[in-house]
Amino acid sequence: MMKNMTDVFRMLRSYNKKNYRLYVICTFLSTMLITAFGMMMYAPTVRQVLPEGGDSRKQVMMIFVLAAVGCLVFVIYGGSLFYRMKSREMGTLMALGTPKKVLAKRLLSEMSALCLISGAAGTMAGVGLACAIWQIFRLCIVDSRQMQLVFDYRALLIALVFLLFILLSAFIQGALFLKRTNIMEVINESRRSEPVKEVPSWYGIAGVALVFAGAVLGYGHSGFFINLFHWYPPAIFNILYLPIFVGLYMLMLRIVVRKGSKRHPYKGIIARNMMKFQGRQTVNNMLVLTVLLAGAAFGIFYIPMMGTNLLMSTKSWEFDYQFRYRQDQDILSKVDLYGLAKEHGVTIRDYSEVPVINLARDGENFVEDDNNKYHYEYEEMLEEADFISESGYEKITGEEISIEKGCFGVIANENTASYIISRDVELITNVETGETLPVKFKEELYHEMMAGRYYVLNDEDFDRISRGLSDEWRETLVSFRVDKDKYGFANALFNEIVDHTGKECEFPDYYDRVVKMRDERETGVYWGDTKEATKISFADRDSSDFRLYWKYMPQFRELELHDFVRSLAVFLMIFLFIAIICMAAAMLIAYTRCLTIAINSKQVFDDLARLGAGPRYLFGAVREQIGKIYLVPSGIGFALMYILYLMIMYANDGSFTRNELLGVGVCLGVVFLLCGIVYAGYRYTRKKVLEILGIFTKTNTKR
Amino acid sequence: MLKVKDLHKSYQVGKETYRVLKGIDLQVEKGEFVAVMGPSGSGKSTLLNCISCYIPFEKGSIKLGGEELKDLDETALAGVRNEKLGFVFQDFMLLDGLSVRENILMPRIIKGNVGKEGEALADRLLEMFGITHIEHKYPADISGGERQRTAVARALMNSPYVILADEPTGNLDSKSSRAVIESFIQAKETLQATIFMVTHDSFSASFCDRVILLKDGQIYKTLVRKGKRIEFQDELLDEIKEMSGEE
Repeated sequence: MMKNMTDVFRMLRSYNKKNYRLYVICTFLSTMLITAFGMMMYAPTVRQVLPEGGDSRKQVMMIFVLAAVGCLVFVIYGGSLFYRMKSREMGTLMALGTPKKVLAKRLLSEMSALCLISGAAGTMAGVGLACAIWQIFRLCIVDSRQMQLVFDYRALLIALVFLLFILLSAFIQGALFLKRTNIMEVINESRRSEPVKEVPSWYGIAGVALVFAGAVLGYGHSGFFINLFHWYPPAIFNILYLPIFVGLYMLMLRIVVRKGSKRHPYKGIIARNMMKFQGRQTVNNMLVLTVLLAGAAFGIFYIPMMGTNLLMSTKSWEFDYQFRYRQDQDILSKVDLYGLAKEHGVTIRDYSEVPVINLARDGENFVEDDNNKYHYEYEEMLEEADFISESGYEKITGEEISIEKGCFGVIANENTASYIISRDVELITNVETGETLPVKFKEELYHEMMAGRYYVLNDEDFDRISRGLSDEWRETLVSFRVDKDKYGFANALFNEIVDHTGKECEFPDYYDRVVKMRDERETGVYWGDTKEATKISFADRDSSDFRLYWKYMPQFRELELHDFVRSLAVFLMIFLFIAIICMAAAMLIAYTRCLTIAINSKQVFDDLARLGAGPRYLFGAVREQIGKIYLVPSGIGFALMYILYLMIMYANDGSFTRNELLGVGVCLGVVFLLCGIVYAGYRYTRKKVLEILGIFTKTNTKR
Repeated sequence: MLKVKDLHKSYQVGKETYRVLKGIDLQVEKGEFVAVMGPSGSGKSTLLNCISCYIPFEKGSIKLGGEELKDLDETALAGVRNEKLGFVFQDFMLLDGLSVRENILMPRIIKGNVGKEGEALADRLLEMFGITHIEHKYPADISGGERQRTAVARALMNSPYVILADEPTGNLDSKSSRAVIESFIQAKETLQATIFMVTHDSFSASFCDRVILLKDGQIYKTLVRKGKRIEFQDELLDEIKEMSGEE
């Protein structure tokens, strides 16, 4: 027999199991998704691949923050639903004279228990989910040494912080709920609708304009300040992205409370008005969904963009094999190379060996000042640059060129490499003899494999400036084609080269000996030698880092194509992971919102049926509401991210390269795939909502 | 027992302020059964909610058993609601997760003294209102009339100074309405309960000792029952017609 308030609360809990379950599911799922994301973010493997301060890390972090905010909004929404459903009960207890202190104590201890239990379970499930996705990835797609499952304990801190946020929001919501002095308001809370006011038609246009303005301001502000004021705006300036969210909100509002057309003012009136009366929460949810779906698109787009670029570049290589080595290294000779090819049944043809020299080039050095400002200082020896002679170029390409004395050409291509090699070189220096040569830019030469790296000098100039250079500053560039290429040969040659290269060449592409000399002279330390710099290791020759960043990484078409997935494994996994988490969070939020609409609208649908509305009519009213919740955010989110990608591609060099166009083409295909997933979610939810409302279109009856 | 003096209450809707109660003065004596009637928007429910301390009011005084309610803090008000007031709502406001008996015992449970005495009183009230056979049933499984009788029994559990009833028959059919009103009369006669009821139903009001007619937030007239119920009902209907300007 019930004797005290503890018994009363126990019985009420038992009666309202469904309400509790909904809140527990909200917190469980959110914590699980955030923990899984955090686990991935803090995995040492991922942190190593996405270096601190790098663009990729920032982008992943940005998506993580968006996902976390989305999940938090979802939990807050779950909390508000919970309190709403509790309101009648709490109001009755208040009306019967239960002191607020007693209710507060009971309610907050219940919420704490719910949050902690579901949060702890969600955290464990999140760890499990991260492990499962990681392992599935290793089993099904790629398993390399780099893909070891090592987690950092700090990942759990993210889950803990998130859990504290959930707890805090539950407490604040509870305090606000109980703070009200008007008991009738508490009692009637569950019946209260959240209508949004009519908005003028210009809201839609203004929303689109604000989204566009936010994207331009947010993405373009740093370039504006850097180029015009030589000043790096601090992170707070990212607030300029804010108009995107304001614009999205206005756009959603316009879509949700849009009036009927003048021609058919009563068409869809039920769905429109029902959405309007639950407008505030619906619009908030749709906004979160848009952001999450855009995040999912961001993650998934990375893969085709990166993949297409690499595959297309590789396919357009002029040679099957090209590699370079420092002349002080004991790399296998031409005879050894032919022997190795014979062993693998591969025939080498069009073999060429061309000398390369490493010199210092002049230019404007970027110097950071205080207050995020910077200026340029001219340096005669700015950085390392690789030079070949015009005859060397002719030998490789078979193309006749003429570079005048005192001039140079740059090797470019039609893709991204064309802008990363400077044309503003005026002086080159032999770093060992100090001999200098004034030069000026003459022309661009096109060669895919050598693009973005080599300068071409007149033969006489090449001989003169290279005089006195030791083998440490000289390289040999080997190029050849093969008949019946085989991965076994490519892999064996790659291993031979790595095995015969000394530790003095075990550094990434950005490691610059000229900068090192200057930095050590001026400050005693070169950044590339510090712990912060990404290191590569011969022992991890199959890792993404090594394959992407080793300074002397050979370009073997067969190796590149065969090991493509392995080389990019970590990137693939990170971005696929982001896409999965964001997509899962979005689907859950949309599903929950739709079920809530169904539960809240049941009475209206019953009344409509009593008024004679047939199953088809009711189905239409359901379809319009559920459709808006799923399809509007996905349409806007995917389109937004697609446009953002186009903007990024264009902003790189002011044009679209062939590879970029192909990449965005593939992304379009991916958008259709994502739309298919959203549509499947929408169909499933629609089915569930129709079940809840008892609308059966097939039998043409209403239960 | 209950004394209301110069009670004012207004609502703010957007920028508009609506004055709902404009200086109400009334008094209810112990054992009296008083009804408040009036057209929609006359302020009946607001008056009841103010007396119940469910909603705050701006000006005036409400005294219950000589105690000024305006001066009380949240905890003291909760005590008043629990021990000195009993409530009966139009939509019953029973806790769906508790049985009929448990709902009736709720005021005692909140007070923290169910005891044998509480159990015995619950038995007596169940019997008095003819709901013993459903004591272990849940609100969802019983009729509207039974729910409202449960609510009346709950309101009497702590022997309050006054029972406040807001349209108690509003959701009931005539048979159930009569049963609920009879339960009020029974409570008045056997337990000397004081009842203050808001209603729009002249039939229910005709059982009362006194009916206060409210119009535009002010007391329009007070009618005292002198003769038979049916005559009083006719008198009420005439006054309501006159109040609404139909004659």
